[in-house]
Amino acid sequence: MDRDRRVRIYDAHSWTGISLGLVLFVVCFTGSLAMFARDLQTWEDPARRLPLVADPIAIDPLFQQWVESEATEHEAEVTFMGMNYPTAEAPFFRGNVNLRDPDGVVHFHQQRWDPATGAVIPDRQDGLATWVLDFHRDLMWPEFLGGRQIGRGLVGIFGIVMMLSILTGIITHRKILREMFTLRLRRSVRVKWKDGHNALGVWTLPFSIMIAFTGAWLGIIVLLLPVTGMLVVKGDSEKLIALLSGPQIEATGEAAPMISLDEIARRSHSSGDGRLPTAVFIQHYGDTSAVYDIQYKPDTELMYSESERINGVTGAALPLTGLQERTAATRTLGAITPLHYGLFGGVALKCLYLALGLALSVVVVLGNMVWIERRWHSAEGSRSPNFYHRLSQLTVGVSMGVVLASVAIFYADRLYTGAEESRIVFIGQMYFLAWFATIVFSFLRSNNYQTVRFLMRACGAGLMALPVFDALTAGATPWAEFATGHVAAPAINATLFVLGLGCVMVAQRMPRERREYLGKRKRDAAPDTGAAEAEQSAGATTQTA
Amino acid sequence: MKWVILVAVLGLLGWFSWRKPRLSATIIWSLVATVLFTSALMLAFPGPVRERILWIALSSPLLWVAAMFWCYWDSRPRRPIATMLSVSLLSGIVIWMIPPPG
Repeated sequence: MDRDRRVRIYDAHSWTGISLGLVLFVVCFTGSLAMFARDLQTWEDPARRLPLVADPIAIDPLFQQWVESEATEHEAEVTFMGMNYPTAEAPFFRGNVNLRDPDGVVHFHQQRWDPATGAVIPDRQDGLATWVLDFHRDLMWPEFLGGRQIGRGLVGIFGIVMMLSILTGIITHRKILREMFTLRLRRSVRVKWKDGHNALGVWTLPFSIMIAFTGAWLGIIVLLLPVTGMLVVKGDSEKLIALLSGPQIEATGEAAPMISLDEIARRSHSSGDGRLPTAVFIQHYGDTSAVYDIQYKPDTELMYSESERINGVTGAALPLTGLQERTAATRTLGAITPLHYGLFGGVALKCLYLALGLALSVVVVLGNMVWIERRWHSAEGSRSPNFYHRLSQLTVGVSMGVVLASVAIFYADRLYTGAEESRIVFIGQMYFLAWFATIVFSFLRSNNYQTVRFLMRACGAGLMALPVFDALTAGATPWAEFATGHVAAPAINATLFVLGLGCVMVAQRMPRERREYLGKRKRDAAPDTGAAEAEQSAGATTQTA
Repeated sequence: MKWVILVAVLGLLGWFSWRKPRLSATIIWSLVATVLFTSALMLAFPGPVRERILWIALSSPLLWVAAMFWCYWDSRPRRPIATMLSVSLLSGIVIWMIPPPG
C-alpha cells in the first residue's frame, strides 16, 4: 500500500476517533451495563426478590377482573392483552393490556400479582435498569428533538462510525500480531497508552466487530428500513407492514368462551421437550377468531423467544406468519439481539462481555488520549498547549463522569421517595447532575492525573459501598437471599464490589503527574529510557498535565 | 419559500461536494447511495419478498461502511463521489421503473 493511501486511512481512523470518540466511549460503557438490565431490575425492585412458587394460584379470574375494571374505568376498548408467567428473574404474574380510548389513543397498563397469594404487588415504574438500557439504546433522546427513534438511529450511526474506525484501524496497523503482545509499561505515557490502545484493540477485535455490527444494525434499522421500505412500496406503509408481518387475522364479532390463562401456563411446547410458556399475548379476546401467541424459551440460545400460535377458543394450532415464521432470515434477525446483549451463554458469558465491553471503552478513550498527547507534547499539534489541556480535561470529565453518574443512579433509584411516574425523570436528573458535576470538577483541576486518581477512588468507594447500602435499604442480607434461591441481586452486589475494588487498585497504581516531569526531578535516582525518548521527540515541553 | 430553501440546500451540498469531495462522499453520498441501492436490490432481486427485504436490510450497514471506507481508499478524490452519485441515479431509475412487490 502506498504512503498516501496509508496516511489517508490513518487520518480517517484518527478523525472518526477524535470527533466521536467520547460518544463511542459513552455508548460502549453504558452498553457494558445494559447487558445486565434484567439482573438490575431484580436489584432495584425488592418485589422481584420473591421466592419462586412451585404451585402458583389461578391467575385467570384475577386477570379478567382487572382487564374489565381497566376498560370500564377508562371507557376504552381492549385492543391487545398479555400475561407474563413467573420466572426466576421476575417471580410474579404480570398482566398487560392495551386500551384504545374514544379518541383513538392507545394506552398501556400493567399489573403484578404475587403468585403465592394473588395479592397485587405495588406498581413500580421504570427506574435504574430502564435508564441503563435505554440510555445505551437511544440516549433517552427527548421528544422535542424528534423522540427516541431519532436517538436510536443516532446510536446506530455511532455503530457505523465504530465499524469504520475498526476497519481503518486494521488497515493502519501493519504489525498487528506483534502489537498483540507489545505493552511497554515502563516507557513514556504516549508509548504506554499507544501500546494499550493497540494491544487491547487487537485482543478485542472479533468482539468489537460483532458488537459494532449488531449495534449498528439495531440502531440504524429504525431509520433506514422505513425509508427503504417506503421506496420499495412507493409510500404505501400499510403494504410494507403486510409484507413483513403477513396477513392479519380479523375479528368475527361472534362471542365465545376462551381458554383459561392457567391452562395455557401448563401447556408445554409442541416439540414435547417439556418447555413451559413464559408469556402469552392475546388478540381479539372473547371472539371466535381469538389468537394466543404463546412464548417459550427458544430451543437455541441465539433467539430471544420462540412462539406458538393457537386459536383462543379451540386450542387448534395456527400457522406462524411474518417475522415469527422460522426462516433463515428471521433466525438471523432473531440472533442479533442475543448476540449484542450476550443473552445466549449464562453468567460466565455476561462476565466475559462485561470485561470485553469495558476493554473496548478503554481502547476508545486511550485512542483519544494518544491523539491529544501526540499534539500536546510534540511539534505535531497546531493549536496552543492550553487547547490540548482543555481537550484533555474534557476527555477526563466526560469519560469519568459517565462512570460516576452510572454509580450515582444506583443510590438515586433506591433513595427516591416521590411519585412512581416521576422515578425515571429523577434518575435522569441525577445522572446528568453527577455527569455535569464531574466535567466541571475536571475543568477546575489542572492536574489530570490527580483528577483521574481521585475520580477512580470515588467511583471505587461508591461501588464497594453499594452492597452494604443494598442490605440496609432492601432489608435483605446476601445469605438470606441465597437461602430463598435468589442469585441475581447477590451476584450484582458481588460484581459491584469487585469492580469497585478494581477501581481503587487501579487508582493506587496511577501516576500522580506526568511521568516525564517526575523523570526530570528524579532522573538521577530512577533513569527512564521511555521518558528520555518522549522528551527527545517532544522537544522543550513546558506544560504539565 | 420552500423552493428558496431547497435551492439553498442543494447549493450548499454542491459547494460542499466540490470543495470536500472525500468528506462529503463519506458523510452524505455514501448514505444516499446505500439507501437507494438497497431499495433497488430489494425490488430487483428474485425470491420471496420478505426474505429478500430482510437479507438486504441485514447487509445495509456493511454496504454503508464499505462505501465510506472506499471514499478514503481510492486515490482519486472525485471518483468516489462520482460513483456514489451514479449508483444513486441508476438505483433511482430502477426504483422508479419496477412496480412495488405484492
